[in-house]
Amino acid sequence: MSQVTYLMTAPVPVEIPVPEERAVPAAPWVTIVWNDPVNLMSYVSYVFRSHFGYSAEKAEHLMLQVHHDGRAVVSAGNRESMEVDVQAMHTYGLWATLQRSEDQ
Amino acid sequence: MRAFRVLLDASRVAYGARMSMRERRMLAEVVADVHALLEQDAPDRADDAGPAWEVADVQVPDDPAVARLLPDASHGDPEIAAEFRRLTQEDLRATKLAGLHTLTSCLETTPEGFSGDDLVVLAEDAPRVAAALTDVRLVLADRLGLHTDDDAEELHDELTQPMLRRRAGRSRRGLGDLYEALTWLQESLVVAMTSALPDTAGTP
Repeated sequence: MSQVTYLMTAPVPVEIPVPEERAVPAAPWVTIVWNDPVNLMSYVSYVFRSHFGYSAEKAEHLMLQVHHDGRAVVSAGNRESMEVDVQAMHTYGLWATLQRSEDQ
Repeated sequence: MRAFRVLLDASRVAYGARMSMRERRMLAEVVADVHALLEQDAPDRADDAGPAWEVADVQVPDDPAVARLLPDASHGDPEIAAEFRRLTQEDLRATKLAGLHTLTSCLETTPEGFSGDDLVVLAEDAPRVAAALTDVRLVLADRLGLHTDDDAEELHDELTQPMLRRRAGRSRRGLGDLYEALTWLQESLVVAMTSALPDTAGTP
């Protein structure tokens, strides 16, 4: 393409596709809780309810995901808030890690 | 030993589990052992060593049980894990030591107004006590070689099937029985604590 051709035609309005709006912007970091043979299912649900304020249903769903899949993403946000969540999970005795959300 | 249940006195909510003094003393000894294990692992720092963020490097604990109590915060990124450890490990250790201490206090003294036959956990102490019970069970699980859900099921079979039980060594039986008793005790505490959680149905 030559450098000048674009000057030879009048500009026409172009419709720029607008990306579908996301309800929640993609969070850059996530907290993952890993399965272990020690933590009780009841306790893991309790921790998700009391730390994150999740409903009993959501806490149970995440707990079962940890139990069956070996891990679950339990929260998402900026790195600092994920560090707070990871440390809280470790305080409760759960094993949690943080990572960039695209790595998961 | 009987399961935890909700106790109410005029002003406080607490959870109580019927437990003899002998059982409480035995458990307090185990809690003290876990406390010592976690405390011994702490790095020796001179008083003038400066604030934690100036400490160059914090090592992963050598003892796998302590490493499980103070785990890596990253799966696959050693730099993130090392930085997190450097900034938070000693705070986490201090929180866990304080939780174990709270559990010991519950085992050794009964709050005024409650029966001395019970191990009494005041509602405000309960999350720390449940976490401390988890930490004790994590250490026992490491010593019992429980790495997977199947390992835990095999231990249960070993302890409950007479043929297998006879074959297990004396120390494994003792440690295993203690682990299962604490599992049961923690389960009952958590069920009682969960019954006291606000109903958050409808929240995300």
